Amino acid sequence: MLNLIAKFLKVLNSEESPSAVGWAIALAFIFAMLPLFSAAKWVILLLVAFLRVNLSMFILFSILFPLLAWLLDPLFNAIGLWLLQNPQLETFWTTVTTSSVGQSLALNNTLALSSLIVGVVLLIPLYWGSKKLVVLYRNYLKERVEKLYLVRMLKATKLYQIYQSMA
Amino acid sequence: MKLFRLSGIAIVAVFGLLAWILITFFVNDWISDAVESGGSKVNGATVSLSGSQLGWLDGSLQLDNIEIADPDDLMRNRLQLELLKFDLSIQELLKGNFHVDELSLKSIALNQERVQKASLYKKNSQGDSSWSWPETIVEKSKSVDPNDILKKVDIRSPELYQQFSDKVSQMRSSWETAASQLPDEEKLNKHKQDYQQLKEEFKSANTLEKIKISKELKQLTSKIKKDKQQITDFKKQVESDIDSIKEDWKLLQKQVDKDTDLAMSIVNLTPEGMKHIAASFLGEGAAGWVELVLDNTDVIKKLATPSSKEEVKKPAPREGIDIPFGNEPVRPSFWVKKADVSGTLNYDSMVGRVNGKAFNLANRLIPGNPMSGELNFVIPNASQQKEASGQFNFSVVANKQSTSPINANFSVSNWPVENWRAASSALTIRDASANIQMELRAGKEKTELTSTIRLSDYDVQLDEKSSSSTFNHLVEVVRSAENIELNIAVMQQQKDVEFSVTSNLDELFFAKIREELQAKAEKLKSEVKQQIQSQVQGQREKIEQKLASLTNYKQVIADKVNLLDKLN
Repeated sequence: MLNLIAKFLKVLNSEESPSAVGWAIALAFIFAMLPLFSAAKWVILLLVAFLRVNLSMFILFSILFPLLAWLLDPLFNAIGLWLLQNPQLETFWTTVTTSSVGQSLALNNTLALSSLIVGVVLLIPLYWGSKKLVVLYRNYLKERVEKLYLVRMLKATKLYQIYQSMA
Repeated sequence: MKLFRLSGIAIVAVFGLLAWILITFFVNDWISDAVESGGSKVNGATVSLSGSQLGWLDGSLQLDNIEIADPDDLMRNRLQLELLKFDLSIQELLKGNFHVDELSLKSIALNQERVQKASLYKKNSQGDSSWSWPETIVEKSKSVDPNDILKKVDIRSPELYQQFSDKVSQMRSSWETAASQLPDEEKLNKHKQDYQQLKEEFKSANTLEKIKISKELKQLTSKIKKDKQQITDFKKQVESDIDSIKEDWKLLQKQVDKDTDLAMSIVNLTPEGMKHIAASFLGEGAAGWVELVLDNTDVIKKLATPSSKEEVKKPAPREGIDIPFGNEPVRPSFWVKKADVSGTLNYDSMVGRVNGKAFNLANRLIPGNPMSGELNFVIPNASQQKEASGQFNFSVVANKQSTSPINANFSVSNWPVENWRAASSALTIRDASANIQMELRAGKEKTELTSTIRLSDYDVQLDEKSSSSTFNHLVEVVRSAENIELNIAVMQQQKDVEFSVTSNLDELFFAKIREELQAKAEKLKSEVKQQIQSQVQGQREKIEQKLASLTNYKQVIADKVNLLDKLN
């Protein structure tokens, strides 16, 4: 099983540039924030499969970000409710939500709308921030981290050995 | 750096291919197996289908040739459908809602013979199966338990008996308080002694002394008169209280009869009582239909009377709130937007055609999208080569102002009735042709169901076990009539239900049945009365003892007054 996971990661994870990692984290954020019934979630998944983003990072952050999504749910609902019930935007939302794209993206839903808006707004800052962090890590922290006892323990695990043998 | 990841595209393509193979070659069989095993468990006997097709892009599911066996006769199917197709909204399904854009039913067959014997399945032990509701309801409606009735009725006898007993005790206690203010035995005896002494002194006294004694006697007499007046007033009060309490006691004893009558009226007016009467008069089938209509009207009425405040549902995690725009309605969790049925209709050996449509069948009414439907059928050679036809239509509107937001009409002409067991199964009407018209109007405050059933071209049979002069006479009357016309009216206003059955043969037909029912009702009434009497028996004995002691008290006061009378 571990062998299979390692093979899977090796086949897909040949790009390790800071940009690829940055895009993976930013896209994982939008993917995790969007609800299941929004078509945008599935479009993101296809984008990740088709484009050269770091898949390991995407999978890792797609597991971590939903915890944040659960915490942010009330905030997203409040933002969505405020936007959708704003009288000045009523005509705009009527046009958008009754269109086929609007319906596919479930834009009349408070959570689908606000998570999409927040995701799109944070996409570039998240990409840029993640990329910077990767560069910083590689330049200044990588050596120190690799000397840590915990990291050495992890490197001794079977999964890491299989991963290394495939890399 | 290349923009696209070829390996990713390849993997998505492989996943797509795998999904297609899975759906094409395996999923349809899995769905068929799941429907067959799940359906069989619910039905209690074999449910089978020839195949299923899942449309993986449009979210449609088609089930072909569904056969639902009859658990009571494994060689027959209770229902067969040539095709059942759902067009499901996948997006709503991901939100946890079940929205069917279109539901199609093609060709319905009822009560058909099976090629292979079906198998019995153990039914789910939780509650009654929806298939068996008519039998269950009729069984329940056949027996009326006096204890059950008393639980449902506000029987006031025990409470009023207790209150009366307390009132008698309080009265006795207030008398005793008042009596303590009256001249006591010692004072009365002193008056007597003083009076006799003054009389004696008067006899032996001289003139001047006599004047003095006379004055003293006058003073004493005045005191005695005052005391006597006090005692007499008290006596009058006691007598008046006793008369009043005896009157109350008489009235209270009638409370048992009142409670019995109330319980009996509840038996006759509640849906339970009404079903009991319907089952006795019209037979189990009719009672079941009345139950079906009333129960479902109550359910639909809840949908038709939305709360004054539009409730904003608290969203479940990762669900959000849907805000409607334009003509978009607030979406219910279950919604069949459109359903249609068409094709052949097989009933026993009769073959006809059926078509119908229904719109917006949902678990709540959708403003601007009324729930409505209509169904028509025709069977060319149904009853004695006559054409049988029927029509059913209904509408439910979300309108608080409307007095009747639910309207339904059902009519059938020339429907063949093989056996109609009526009058507690004593009488069987065979091979009749029935014309039925049923109309339902239901509002927030009132539900009215009127129905006319006209039976003609029939033969009558009497159950040998029920043979009696009454029923023999009844059979003669029914045979001599050209047709039987029954008018059934049910009106439910809040908790009150009125049920009436009239017929063109009322005079002779129902008079005899009523006689039978009357005897049953009298027996039940006596059982109910006994139950109430047993509840108040203890209190009754206590009250009677207290009343006897009050009468004694009255005598004691009367003796005191007599004593003072002698001193005047």
